[in-house]
Amino acid sequence: MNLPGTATKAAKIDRLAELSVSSSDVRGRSLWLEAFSRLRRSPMAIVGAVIVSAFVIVAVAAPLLAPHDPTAQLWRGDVFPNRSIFVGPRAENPLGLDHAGRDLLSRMLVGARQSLMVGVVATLIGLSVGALIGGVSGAAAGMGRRLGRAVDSVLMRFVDMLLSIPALLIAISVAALLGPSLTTLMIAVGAAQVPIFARLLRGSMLAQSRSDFVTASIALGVRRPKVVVSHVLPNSLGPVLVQGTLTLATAIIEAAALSYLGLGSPDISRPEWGGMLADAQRFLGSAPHMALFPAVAIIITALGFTLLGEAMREALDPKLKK
Amino acid sequence: MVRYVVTRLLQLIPTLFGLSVLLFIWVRALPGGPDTALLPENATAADRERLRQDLGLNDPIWVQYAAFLARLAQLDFGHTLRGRAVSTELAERFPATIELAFVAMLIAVVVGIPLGYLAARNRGRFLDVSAVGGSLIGICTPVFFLAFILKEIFAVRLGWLPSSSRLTPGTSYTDITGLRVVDGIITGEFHVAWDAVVHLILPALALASIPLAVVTRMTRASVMETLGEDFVRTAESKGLTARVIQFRHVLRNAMLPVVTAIGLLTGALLAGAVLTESVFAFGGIGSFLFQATQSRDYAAIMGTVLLIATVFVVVNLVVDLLYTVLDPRVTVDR
Amino acid sequence: MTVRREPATPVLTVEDLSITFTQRGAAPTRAVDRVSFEIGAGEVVGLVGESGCGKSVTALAVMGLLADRNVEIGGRIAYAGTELLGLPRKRMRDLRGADLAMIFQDPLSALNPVVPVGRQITEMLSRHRGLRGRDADAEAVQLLGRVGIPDPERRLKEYPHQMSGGMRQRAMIAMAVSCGPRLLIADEPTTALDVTIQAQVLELLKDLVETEGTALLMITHDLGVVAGLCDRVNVLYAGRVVEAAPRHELFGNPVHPYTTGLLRSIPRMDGDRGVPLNPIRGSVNDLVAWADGCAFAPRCDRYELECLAGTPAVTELPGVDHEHRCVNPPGTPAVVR
Repeated sequence: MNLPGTATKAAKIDRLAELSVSSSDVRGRSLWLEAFSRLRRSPMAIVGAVIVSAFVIVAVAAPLLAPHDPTAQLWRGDVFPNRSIFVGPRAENPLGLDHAGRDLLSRMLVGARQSLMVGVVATLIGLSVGALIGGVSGAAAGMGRRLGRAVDSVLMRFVDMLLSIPALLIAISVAALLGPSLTTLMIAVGAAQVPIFARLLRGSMLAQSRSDFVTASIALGVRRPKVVVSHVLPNSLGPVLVQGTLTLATAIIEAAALSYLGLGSPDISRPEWGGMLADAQRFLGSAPHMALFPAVAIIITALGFTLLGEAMREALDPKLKK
Repeated sequence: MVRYVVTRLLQLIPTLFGLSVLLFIWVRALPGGPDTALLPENATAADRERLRQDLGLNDPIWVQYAAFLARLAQLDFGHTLRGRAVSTELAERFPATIELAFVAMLIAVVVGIPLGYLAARNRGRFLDVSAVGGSLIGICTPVFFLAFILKEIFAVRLGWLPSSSRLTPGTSYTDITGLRVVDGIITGEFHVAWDAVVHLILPALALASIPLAVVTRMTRASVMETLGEDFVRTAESKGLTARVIQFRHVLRNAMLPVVTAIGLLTGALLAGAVLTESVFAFGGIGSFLFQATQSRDYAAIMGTVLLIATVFVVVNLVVDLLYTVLDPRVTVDR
Repeated sequence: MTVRREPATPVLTVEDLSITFTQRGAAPTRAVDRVSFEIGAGEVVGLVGESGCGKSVTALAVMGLLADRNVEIGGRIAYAGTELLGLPRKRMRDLRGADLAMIFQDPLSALNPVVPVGRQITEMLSRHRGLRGRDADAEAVQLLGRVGIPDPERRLKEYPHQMSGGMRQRAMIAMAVSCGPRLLIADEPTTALDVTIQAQVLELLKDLVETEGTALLMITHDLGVVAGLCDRVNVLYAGRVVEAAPRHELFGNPVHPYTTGLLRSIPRMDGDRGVPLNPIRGSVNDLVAWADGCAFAPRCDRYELECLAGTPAVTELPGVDHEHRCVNPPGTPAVVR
């Protein structure tokens, strides 16, 4: 038995520190850091991120990568020998030519740029307008006064009504008003996302404002508008970010649908994947390569954004924490 | 229960009212104004003046809206560019879309629910990974492309299934409900019913792709969550047979969110009809909207959008009511 | 002193039970570490400790309800002489509910929200006792009446959310005892209930044990529950039994600093208000692996260097059936830090 004097306090503390296995090593890390570290371990997120970055790089560097002018008609002597106007993949045109004799690879690369632009701008339109409506609504509801509740209820009735029209029909209606162009595509696809973002932001703001830490802030005398700005909004960002990523996928697919309906961009110098795919349907029997490449590109890109978005959702979901 | 139904019906009013305002504004905002947009290009000045009279375009705006509402209430959505009443066209074509959407939803439910359930039970294994991967690809594939591929492979190349229309041309049939399969069965013309089924397969498969993907993923997520619930552990602790646990305790609860999802999917299904019916020349409201979009037939677009939105709202009302039967907690919470 | 009944074969024997959770990408965690105890017919044994100490996991292991994947179970669990570990699934399913039954902490989440309470009882009667239809309903009414639910015929058709918390827990108990199990495990059965209801539910359990001779494993963090009900108590810390003794011996002569800590942190009505409550420092998260020494050392007032010289051995107090796992128990000079 050791006497108190023989073991010094320091030795005792050192020994304890050496053997202690505190299981609370994640304590103090922020939600975002934790989510990010979970994201890095998720194979879904990695695949998604790789696809998305490859897509962005191609889209940005398209003019440098494209071997040909995407509008130049390249067929000359080789058009009619085997009685087909379609030229499939060959050495100088790895993806073949389209029905107008333009290099499909170059058009695909340049098309990536338009598709990315459509996706990003549409998402930004949907996000900003939706966030404005949802944010005002959520903040108004969060304030709890009579006027606030009235504003919230009017805005939400409006959003609910928009939600009762399928997204594609909203896009069709908007595009029909504006006439076919690349800008139309962006606005139409973006408009279809507005009610979704509005609902989402309001919902998550309300959930936050019912949470204990907001109640606590209010109880401590922090003014409500300040609580909304400093606590509620930042905490609502996660779901919006997830939805934004998923919307990029939807936007690319929906743009293709609108192009198929004849509401896409008629500008041949700025091809867009959806438009290329829609055009190619007419030649599916004789030139399947023309449809296949844009289709595969759309599917893979949309998949990339979906995987990334879903992985983010999982990473940010506190219920799934181990 | 009656009070709940009434409340929910009353809640429809502001939604439909807002929808009418929105459509009214939309018609006003049409390029060149409604009188130009709603008439064919070769319309005469007299045609135009008559339409201006009909729409009351010279009246104050609120009178115009009241007249607009009155016309909607009488199911008068105006005329197509070809001069037929939009409501007549929709009435003729809607049964085809109902039939198609129903079969597509049937495929989604009959395949999606068991698949999602099995995926959840075999989490992380091959079946799960392929079900999840397959549904993600399904969601990411443009519907019209899938329709074209199916048509190209199974109708054009292999010739197994017809590539267009609702019946083999020249087939005589009796029209009762407008649903060819149902009519064929009612009248005993089973060859007609069978022919209609065969014509439904490809468009329904294409249309089912997104609902199938969503139902599968939803079921999977819901079953997985339910499997972790305390009451499932209780059921296990009672030594019940696996079948009772899975059906009465897991699936019964896991289906609740799936039912809601199915209601919400009707919107996507009807909108998706635009993309599949046109490929298969299937004469429903989808083809109608497709043609309307291509020719900028605004009255037709408006009528179809209004019809689809109304159907969507009503279907979701029915789903909500069904929910009170499925989930005993709901009525009390109100 | 309570008279301990000593049956020939205990209803439940748990010996050197170890449970380790293994997960890919993470270090295996040992939730239960060589825990042993026995329960005889009509006996109530308490498993006491803070949340995360392994008491619920032990209960689930006895019921055979731990997942197959990512769990390693060592040692032995025997029910009336039958080895439960390694028993075929089907046999285990037959035993569960019929011979071994369990009551869970939160009756609201433990009952199926979309199935009437009556059905949740009769499904058990038809599974284990072959009762169907009206017979099963009649038996369920009788069971509900027996656990003190008024108007049982009407309650039979109600859903869990239509009942009060106390009613739900009574229904849960009715369900658990419906097939006359010889072993009942109650996992914090009163934690989710109001204080007034708690006493009623405990009284009900006590009554069942006395009339039916059921063996009861009581899992709780509440020493008040232990004092009112248990014949014998095992105090668990970080997956190990740190002290085990008959109830009176434990309350009268607690040895392990963790046990004394638990006892001292109960507020007392008759205590001097000037004396501050004495919570145990820190949390269960600060610990030492049992292989290196006493897991409780980081939180212990009596911590000495020798506490960290390997797994503390079991010390038996002679003649009172009392054992503990403390290297530096009271009676030896404590060091004030």
